[in-house]
Amino acid sequence: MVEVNREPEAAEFFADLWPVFTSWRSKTGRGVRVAVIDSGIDAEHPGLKARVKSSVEIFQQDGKYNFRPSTVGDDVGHGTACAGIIAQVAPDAELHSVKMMRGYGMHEPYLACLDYAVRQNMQVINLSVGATAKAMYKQLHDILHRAYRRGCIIVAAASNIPNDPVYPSVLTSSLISVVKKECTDPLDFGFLPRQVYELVARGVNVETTWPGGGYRQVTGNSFATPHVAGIVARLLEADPNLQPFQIKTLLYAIARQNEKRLAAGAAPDQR
Amino acid sequence: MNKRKGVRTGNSGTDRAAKRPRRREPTEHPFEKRLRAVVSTVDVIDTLSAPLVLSINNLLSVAAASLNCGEASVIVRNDNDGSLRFLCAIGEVAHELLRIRIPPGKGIAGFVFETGQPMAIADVSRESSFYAGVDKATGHSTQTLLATPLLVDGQTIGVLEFVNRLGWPPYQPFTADEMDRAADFAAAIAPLVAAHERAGLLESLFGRAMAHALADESPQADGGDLRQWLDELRAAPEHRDLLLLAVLLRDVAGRGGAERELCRGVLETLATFIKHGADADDGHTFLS
Repeated sequence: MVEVNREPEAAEFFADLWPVFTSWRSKTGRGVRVAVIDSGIDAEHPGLKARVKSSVEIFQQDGKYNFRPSTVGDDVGHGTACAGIIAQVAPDAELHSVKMMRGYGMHEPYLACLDYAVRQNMQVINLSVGATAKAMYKQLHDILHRAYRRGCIIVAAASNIPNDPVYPSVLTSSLISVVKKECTDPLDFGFLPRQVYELVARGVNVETTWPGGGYRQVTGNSFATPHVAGIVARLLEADPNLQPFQIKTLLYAIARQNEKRLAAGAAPDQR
Repeated sequence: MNKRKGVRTGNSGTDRAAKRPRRREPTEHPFEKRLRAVVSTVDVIDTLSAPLVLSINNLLSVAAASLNCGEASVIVRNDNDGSLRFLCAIGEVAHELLRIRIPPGKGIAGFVFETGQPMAIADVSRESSFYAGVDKATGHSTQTLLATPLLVDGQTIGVLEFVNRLGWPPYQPFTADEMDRAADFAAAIAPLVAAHERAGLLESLFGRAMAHALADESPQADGGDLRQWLDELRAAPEHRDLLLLAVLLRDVAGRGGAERELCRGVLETLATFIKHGADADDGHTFLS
């Protein structure tokens, strides 16, 4: 009763965000460009066909890093799994694969891939991979700061391991950091106040696409991150001009709404 | 004073020293000296690393039991080429795993190693295998897998991996709680792995020293052929046989951890048998 009476005040307060807040659940992420910086994506997977709009891989030439079209797919599975989750949450989002160079200590390629995605004007970047080299702190911070100013939303996975942070999730508040929780609703996420990692989303026993056409159940913060990336894609479909600060405001409001609905015994709306 | 040249009588310390038969200074071949030093150093390295491997294996067994898991392994980087290798493994295909190298940039373990992100994956489509590289080499089928990084001072030094469950498939996926427990075991195992890798570095240093010693082209080394030199060594047979035995042991032990363990097991069994034989003292030696 009280909540209904407050709605007009809330609508005025959130004048520019209210339409997004009330419509995002009906969105599918149509036209939103989401970069997946990972091990690649199996674009031939039946669950991902026609959703992967571009695939590039990094390579090194004359001491510099460049990017070229990639046809090798995903030889690990991690990237395809993340892409599959984004496709579940935002089925009409455009997926853009940025395949990292593999090998221990490959922090410069990691930075180059992130920089590339920002320069390609990706609206959302799913960063389920991290790195632990403190040496790259400054360069990484610069890229993240530039992404923020360009309106690029970076969603990064947190580490499961306390006291051993995986950058960039703990590096700066200009991105959205995510940890996993166990639940069945892909749109159910929560807010973690006064913690390094801000959001908690579904990331336990998530069934998703796997290279070769199959499916796997996966668990990890890596797989909570694409849930939030997909939700952000829905928000951006509702309003492509949303800035990172507004996105975070909306995510907080939705998280609080989810908490209240769960407390009241009602499950969050299915999409 | 006794007029015999060089002999003095009397009760002085000098006189007593003069009466002791003069010892011949042993003339040690330079090659022999180097070899002795290297062999003893290798023994020291083995003493350092063997208890660590045993401790890691013990912790691995406890961790696997805690997670109701059939197989577990510790994977570390192979410094020579950036690939990964199995340092320790328990389970049905443990011996095969110890021979496998995972190429750089391949596989789930490699991905966890590079990113420091734990993950758990279960095969829900019941396909025969999804972990092609290692499964192909072992003939084993990975149905469910949990991999967590081994971290020391924020750096990933290895991966702790759990595969399948005890019993028969279908296997339950690893839970989030089990992932957290695996991280706790990883925190305990990581320092041991780091210590073992440091011991391995020392071993490789002395291995190079030994290679240098064996490659000695000085005339005394008779062209650098160790065994030929040993055959020609004019020394007590026991001394020569011991050195030859040391070379043989070094050759076998140098092939890998399993061979080293086998050598140790055989020698310990032999030593025990001999001891019991000596205790029985029936007048016969073991070798008669």
